[in-house]
Amino acid sequence: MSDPVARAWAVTRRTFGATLLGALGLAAVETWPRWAFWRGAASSLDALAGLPQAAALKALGRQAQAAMAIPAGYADTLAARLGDEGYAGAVARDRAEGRLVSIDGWLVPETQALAGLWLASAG
Amino acid sequence: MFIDGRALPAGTALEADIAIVGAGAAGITLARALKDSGLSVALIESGGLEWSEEAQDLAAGELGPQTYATPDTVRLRYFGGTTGHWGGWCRELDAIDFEPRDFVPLSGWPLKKAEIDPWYAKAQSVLQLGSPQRYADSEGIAKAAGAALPVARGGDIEPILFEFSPPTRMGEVYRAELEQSAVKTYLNTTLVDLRVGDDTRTVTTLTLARDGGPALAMTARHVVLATGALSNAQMLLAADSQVQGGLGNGADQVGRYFTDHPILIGYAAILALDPSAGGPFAFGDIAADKRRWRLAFQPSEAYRAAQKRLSCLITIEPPGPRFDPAAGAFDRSDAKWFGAPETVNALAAANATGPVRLHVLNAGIETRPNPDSRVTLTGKRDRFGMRRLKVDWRLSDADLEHYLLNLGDFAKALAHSGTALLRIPPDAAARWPEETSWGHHNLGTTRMGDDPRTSVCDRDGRVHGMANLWVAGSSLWTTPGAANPTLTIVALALRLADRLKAEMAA
Repeated sequence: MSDPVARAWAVTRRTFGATLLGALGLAAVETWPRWAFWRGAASSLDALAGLPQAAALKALGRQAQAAMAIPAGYADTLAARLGDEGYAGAVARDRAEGRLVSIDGWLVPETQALAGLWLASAG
Repeated sequence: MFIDGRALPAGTALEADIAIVGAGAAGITLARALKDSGLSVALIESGGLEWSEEAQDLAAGELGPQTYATPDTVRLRYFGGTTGHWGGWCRELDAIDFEPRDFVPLSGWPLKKAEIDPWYAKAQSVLQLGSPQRYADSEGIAKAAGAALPVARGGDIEPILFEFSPPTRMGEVYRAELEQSAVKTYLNTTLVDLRVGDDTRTVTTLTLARDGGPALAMTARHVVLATGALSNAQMLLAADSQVQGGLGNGADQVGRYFTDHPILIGYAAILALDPSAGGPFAFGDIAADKRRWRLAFQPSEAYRAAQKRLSCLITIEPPGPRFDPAAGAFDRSDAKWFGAPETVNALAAANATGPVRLHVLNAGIETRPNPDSRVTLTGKRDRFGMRRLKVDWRLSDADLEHYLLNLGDFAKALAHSGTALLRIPPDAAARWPEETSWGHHNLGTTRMGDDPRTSVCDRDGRVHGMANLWVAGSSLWTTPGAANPTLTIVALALRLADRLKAEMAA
């Protein structure tokens, strides 16, 4: 193999390797629930504001504030769940365990309801 | 051939082997199925080829306390009948709809679905539909349309399909065929009496009124009433000059068990949360395999049997312009289903800016047979002297209760799927039955059954105690199921045609 061809192969291998490493790293980040959920937020609770459906959850949270007694320490409960599994994981666990609550007729996984309360309380 | 009854000379004697009264879905289907049988067939239609106020007025009547469509608006009296404005929704009844159910008094047809299946298959082509095998293939159709299902097949609440007929306007699609056939179609000719022989079991003469001349008499070996559930009952009840109470009414069953499918527009709301939910919830019409479909959700047959539930068919309406911020507003008439005003406004804002979507539900629900829900005659008469109708539709709280239980299970299924949240307003029950619409499906009034004490017709549609008087159409329904009736009307009419051919051959 001539030197120019060998150099080209070496560059190709390095480029491919770097790309592969980058992809693996990105996948790791995306599949690590807490990191994926937090991203740039200061805390797991702050990260709730970045959810695509945050505005809707906040509307339900406000309805819950008006319609029912707010469980004491709900924010701590919520933060612990989010810290353990991230938002999607915690909601999925609610579904798997049948933890659904009713807010003015809306049937909602418990973590989503708590998230709505938090978002509503944050103004 | 078409004959305008108004042009016939007074005293014209008319006769046929089979006289079919009513040129709607059932009557035209029967006439087409019999046109090449070698039998002389008369098809008698009260209206003309086009809709007219004069013909429609003959259908007018009164209502009971329940809000409902007046009789002259719920059916059309002209050639083609109510297929002139139907929406084309087609779906077979389920097997369980035909079964007696211990939690539904007086339920059950005298037939199994399997006995009708061969005619269901033939009815598909009459209504210009595809294969009957596709009604359960929600997964296949969704895949073909590139849509995801929000809940899976095989669950307690499962996705099923309606197929849309074009819709087939029978008065247009089959006009030329019947005009060129040996069937004699008498237009502007209205049945006003059925005369029986001395045995009181055999109809001997049909008295036919028309404008512009005296009534005509027609003799027929067999007579089929195919005028819809309201007029079929009206005709039997009004034929009381020789038999007290009317024909087939010895057990006072004619006109009873009338119902329709209550249509609950709203009563529940959906918040689609999944950012990719535009596909699953874009459930207007789905075009797939060169046909049109609509996804619906229904408690499975097994679940209905296990939970002792009536049926319902729920559709999720597409967001539509009413939820489109570009259209300027959140439709306030639907807003109540989403919650308190401030919640509604916030959700509408989220709908406008985010990936969530708001939908309302529509549902057609099954009612339980009620003998007190009935069609009767009044003292008022139309211009031909026929007594007009009163329609007293009765709904029970139990009908809604079953729907709300089914809806609660659908809410759980959606919450578990992660695609959406469903709201059942706490005051939903208080809106029943005042805020109830209907499917314009007149059902019952001459129900089928093996027991003449609780039915009017036998398993073939022959009026109990009558030798040659038959009924076709949705008045035969015993328990309504939740599916729209036209496909079953056509299937039963095709079945009756074969039955009549056998009867005549014997």
